[in-house]
Amino acid sequence: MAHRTRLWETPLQNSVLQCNLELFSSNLKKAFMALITSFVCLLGFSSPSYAQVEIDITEGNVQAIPIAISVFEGKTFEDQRFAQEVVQVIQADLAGSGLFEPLDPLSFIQKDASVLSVPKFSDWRVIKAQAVVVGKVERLPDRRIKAQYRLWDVFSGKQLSGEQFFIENENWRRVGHVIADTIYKRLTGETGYFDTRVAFIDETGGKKRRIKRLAVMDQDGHNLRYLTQGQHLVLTPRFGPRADELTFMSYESGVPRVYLLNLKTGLKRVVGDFPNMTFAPRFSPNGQKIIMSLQQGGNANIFTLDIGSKQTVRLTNSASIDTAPSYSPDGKKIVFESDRGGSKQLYVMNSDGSGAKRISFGDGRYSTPVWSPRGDLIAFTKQVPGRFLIGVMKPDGSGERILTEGYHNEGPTWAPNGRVLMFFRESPGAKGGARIYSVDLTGYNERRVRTPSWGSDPAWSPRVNK
Amino acid sequence: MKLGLIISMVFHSALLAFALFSLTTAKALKPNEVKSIPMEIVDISELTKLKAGLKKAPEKKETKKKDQKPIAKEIKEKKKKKKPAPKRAVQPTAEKQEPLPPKKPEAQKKKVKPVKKKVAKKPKPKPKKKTKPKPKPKAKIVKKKRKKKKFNEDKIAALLNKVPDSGPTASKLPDLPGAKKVKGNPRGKHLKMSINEIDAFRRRVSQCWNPPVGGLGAEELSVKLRIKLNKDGTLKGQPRVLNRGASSFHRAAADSAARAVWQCQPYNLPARKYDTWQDMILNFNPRDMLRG
Repeated sequence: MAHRTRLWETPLQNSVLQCNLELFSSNLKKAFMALITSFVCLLGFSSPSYAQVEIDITEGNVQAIPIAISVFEGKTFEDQRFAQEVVQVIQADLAGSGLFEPLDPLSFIQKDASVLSVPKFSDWRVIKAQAVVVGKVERLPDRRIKAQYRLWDVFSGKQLSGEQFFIENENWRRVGHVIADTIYKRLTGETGYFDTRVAFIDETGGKKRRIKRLAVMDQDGHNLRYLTQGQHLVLTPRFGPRADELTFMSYESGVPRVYLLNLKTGLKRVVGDFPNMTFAPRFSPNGQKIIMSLQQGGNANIFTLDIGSKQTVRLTNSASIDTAPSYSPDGKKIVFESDRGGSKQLYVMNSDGSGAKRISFGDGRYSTPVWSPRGDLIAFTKQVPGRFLIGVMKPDGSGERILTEGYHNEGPTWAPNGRVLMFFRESPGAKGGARIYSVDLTGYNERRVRTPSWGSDPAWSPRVNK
Repeated sequence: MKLGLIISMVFHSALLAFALFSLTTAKALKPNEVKSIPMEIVDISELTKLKAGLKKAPEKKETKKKDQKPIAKEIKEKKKKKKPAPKRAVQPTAEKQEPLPPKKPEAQKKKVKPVKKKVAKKPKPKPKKKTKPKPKPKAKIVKKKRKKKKFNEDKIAALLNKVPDSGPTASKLPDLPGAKKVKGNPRGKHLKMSINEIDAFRRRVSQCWNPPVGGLGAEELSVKLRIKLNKDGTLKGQPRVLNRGASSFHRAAADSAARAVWQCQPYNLPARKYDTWQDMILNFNPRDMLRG
């Protein structure tokens, strides 16, 4: 995305600003006048002399926001068709979040909504829309797409956001994802997650002879790309903080090893030179280190490896299996699973390996902890007799909440906004297989993520263009 | 084997037959219908401080309408005219009864007579309270009583002193046209929205409020909104956010609060209390939703 400019933002008429401007007068006389002006301004803001009624509204009615995404304009007939596809991407993104209800375009009264004029809000109010999006897309001769859009609040008649940006032709779906991200952020306050990708293990063939390939796709299942061809077993892909690198475990050399793959160049290399099996890799928040487990006899311990200097640091040294390490977003803490206490439980330690403390105390076995990008929660897999659960808890172990459960759920991964999770669920039986699902933090809005075949081990990328 | 089967069948069929005929006759348990009693929770200050106004404030002109019914407050004015009216007080009943509607003259006479007796025996004007909500004839009776009272001026003065203490009379004043004779602001500065009215308003806004709870636990979701309303309950101008927040959560929350207020208008609020609700502050905070 070459340029992204904010357009048509209504200048904020703020009397406080005017007051402050006057206070910056140069000489004393002006300063005195400014003082009086500010006093007058203050009077203007002061509450009326009579007792004002104050009412607390502490409950609301949570429901999907009805939003109208009007038909985007296009210069040519081809552009109009293309614009229609962009609108469909936006609609699918917003509907998939569960927080929006894109209205049926057939119900729109105003058919000629333009990016250059103010919509007829009364027409949009009739169809119960709370916000309306108007836009225009144009394909430029230099193989770029120029996109413009405005988001309006139907009730107040205010423009909530307006932007113009350019994207390369081949990434045209990103036009829709970028607009959907902005709408999502403006109306919910959360950062959007639509302009992101998911790495996963694509599985084909029968259950006994399953071919597992490393693949990457957009979060909505489009633009699928295979990164390995299935000759070797691959597991646990994880994105780097810039979304341009992947680390994963592969049996390529016969022994399970951690690899690093550059998504732009396609270059792949083994991480470190360890004598035994390395597994469960993950990047540090700054992307300079990889943290992983190294098998030592019947035990496994956690190490970090500096990608630049190749220096390794041992963080745990116990006669147990310590694995699945995950950094906190500030890089100061690490959560991992260990069976040092007899059963698999979650532990949190400092990033230098000191002060390990158990945080999971519920019934069952806990595994695959992942620290939220927001830092407020840790997602995990919990195994109780007959079921696997996906849940979240606070970093101190309190506030455990189960979001979903099933025959075999595993491997949660966070959306970059820390409000949505993906995981895979395996169905039983000879014909069963793994599917990728997403669920939000409320535990509602569980949806299957589109994959070409069976899919497991999802890893959500950070935002592509922050 | 066969015998056991037969016995079993006989007993089972007997049991079924018993259940079929005896249990069906059992009376169905009908729960008593409990009708909800509509309640209005009113602030006591609405009754006691309603008339709080300035004594020196100019009297309103519209109070001098002819068709106004006599009320307790008039008694104060009549107090000054007591002395020139003793003779008129002798034949008040005859004069007053003449203009009465001819439909039920007897009934009214009947009502009047006991009053006379009562007044004669007991100068304490207990019937005064009864007269207040009743139509014209009763009001005239009150006048008669007053004239009767003039025979014992000391007691009347004592009674008049009690008038301001009579709660029910005072509470009814705002509903009567005569209520405007109170000096100062007839609404009184203590007139408040009742708990029920506030609750109804709160519920209405809550129904329209769709808070952005994606950010569970986010403190930035608290919004202080100032709204101004027209008399018809519609919004007057844009709602103003009083607490500024830098985060996108606060911005989204403020927009959702404003959207709720816009969406739910017009509001059905008591017109006589317009002064109290024309300018309100609403504190939006989804704390009760996030608690669970």
